[in-house]
Amino acid sequence: MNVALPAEARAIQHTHAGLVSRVAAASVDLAFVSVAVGGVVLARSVWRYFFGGSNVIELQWPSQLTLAALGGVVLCLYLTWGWARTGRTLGKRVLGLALTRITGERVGWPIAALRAISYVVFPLGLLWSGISTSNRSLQDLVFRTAVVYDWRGARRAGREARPA
Amino acid sequence: MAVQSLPEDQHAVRTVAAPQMRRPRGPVEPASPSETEEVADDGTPTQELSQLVEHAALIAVGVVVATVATSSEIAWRTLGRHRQRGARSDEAPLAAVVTGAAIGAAMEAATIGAWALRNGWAVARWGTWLFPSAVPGALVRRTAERWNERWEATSERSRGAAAAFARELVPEVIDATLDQVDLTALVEDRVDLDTVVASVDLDAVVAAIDLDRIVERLDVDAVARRIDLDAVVERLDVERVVRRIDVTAIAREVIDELDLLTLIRDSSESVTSEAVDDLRLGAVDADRAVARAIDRVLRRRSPRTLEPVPHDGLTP
Repeated sequence: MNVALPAEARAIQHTHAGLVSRVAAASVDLAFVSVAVGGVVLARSVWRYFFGGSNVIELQWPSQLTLAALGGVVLCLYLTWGWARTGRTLGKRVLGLALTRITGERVGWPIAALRAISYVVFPLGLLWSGISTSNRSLQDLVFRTAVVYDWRGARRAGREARPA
Repeated sequence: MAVQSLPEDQHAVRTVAAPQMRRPRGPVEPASPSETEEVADDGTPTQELSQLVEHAALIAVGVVVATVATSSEIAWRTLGRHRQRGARSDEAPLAAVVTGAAIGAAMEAATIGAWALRNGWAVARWGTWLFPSAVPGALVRRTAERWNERWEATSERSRGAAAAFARELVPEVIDATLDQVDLTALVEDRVDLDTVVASVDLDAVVAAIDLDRIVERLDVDAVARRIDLDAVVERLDVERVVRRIDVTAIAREVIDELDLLTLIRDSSESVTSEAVDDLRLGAVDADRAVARAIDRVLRRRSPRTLEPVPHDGLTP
C-alpha cells in the first residue's frame, strides 16, 4: 500500500539528517547488535550447560576484551552489510534514513566496511553532524558519504525487489 | 320432460322409424318403369306401403303429440307450477299419459289405414280385371309425370327459398338456444377435459409459437411498472430465503477473492507506518531543535542550509 508522506515531511526528503535522528538510529543499531551478541553469549552458556559440564546458565564471557572484540566485529559486519546492500541498517530503516554517497549513488562494499570500522573505533565522529552546518559526521566527510531522510525508500525498494 | 318418460316400446318405434324418414338429397326422381314393375311383380307393394304408412302416421302423430306435451309442460313450468317433490313416484305425469294415449291412437289409426289400403288395393286389382277400361293406367302415369315436371320446375326455387328461410331462421334459433344453455356447465358435465388435454400435443404447439416475436411485442417496462413490488416483498419469506443461503461458503469465497491476508497486512502496515511517521517527525523536530541550540551556542547567525542529495532512484 502506498502511504502518502505527511506534508511536513515532504520538504526534508533527501536532505541531510540531523543529530538526533542519526543518534537514535545508531542507538537502535547498537541495541540490535547488543541483543545479537547477548544471544551469542547465551548460546555459548547453554552449550556449556549441556555439553561442557557447567552447572548454571549465565550471561558471562571469559574476557571483557574478547567480548568487546566480538561486539565490534558483529557491529562492523552488521553495518557493512546494511549500508552496502540497501544503504540502511535496522536503525536507519526505523528512523527513515539512508546512507548514500555524496553524489547520490549507493555506497560500495569497501567504503561501507571502512566506514563501519571507523564508527566502531571512533563513534564520537557521529557527534560532528550536530556541529557541522551540513549535518555531516566526520566519517561522512572522510568517506564522502551522506545520511539523508528517505522515509519511503525502503518500501519502494522492497516493492521493486518483490516479484510481480 | 314428458318425452323422456315414454314407454320403452314407443322409444323403439321412434328408433325404427327414424332411418326410414331420411329424405334423399337430390330432387325426387320418378320411379322407372322397370323398378315399378319389379315392385309389382314380387307381390308385396301393398305390404311395404302399408308399413310405410303405418310408421309415417306413428311418427307424425308422435311428433305432434310430443311437441304438444312438451310445450304444455314448459308452459306449466313457466307458470311456476312445478311438480311437487312429495308427489308419488309411480304416478305418471299428465303429459306422458297424453303422449302415450296419442301414440296408441296413432297406432290404431295406422293399423286401420294399412288394412284399408291393402283391401283397397285388392279391390282395385279386381276392378281392373273386371273392367280394364275403367282404370286408365296411361292417364294416371301422364298425370304423375306432369306433376313431377311441375315439381322439378319449381323445386330449385323452392329449395332456394327454403335455404334462405333456413339461413335466417337457424342463427336465431341457435342464439335463442344458446341463451338458455350454460355452456360452461355443459362442458364441465359432458366433456372429459383431461382426456382432451391429454390428446393435445403441447410440444408441437409450443414449438409452433414464435416466442421471440411475442417477447419483442411485449412492453416489459409497462409490465414492470404495473408490478407492486412492495406487495411482493411483503409476501416474501425472507427468513426462509436466508436460511437456504450457505453463508459460510459465500464468506469463504469472498475471503478467497479478497486476499484477506494482503488486506490485513496492508492495513496493519498503514497503521504501523503512521506510528513510525510520528516517530520520525518527532526526530526531525528534535534535529531542528538541537541544530538551533548548537548554532546558538556557536553564535551562528545564519541558519543551516541543507541541500538535498541527488537520488534519481539510485538511493534505495
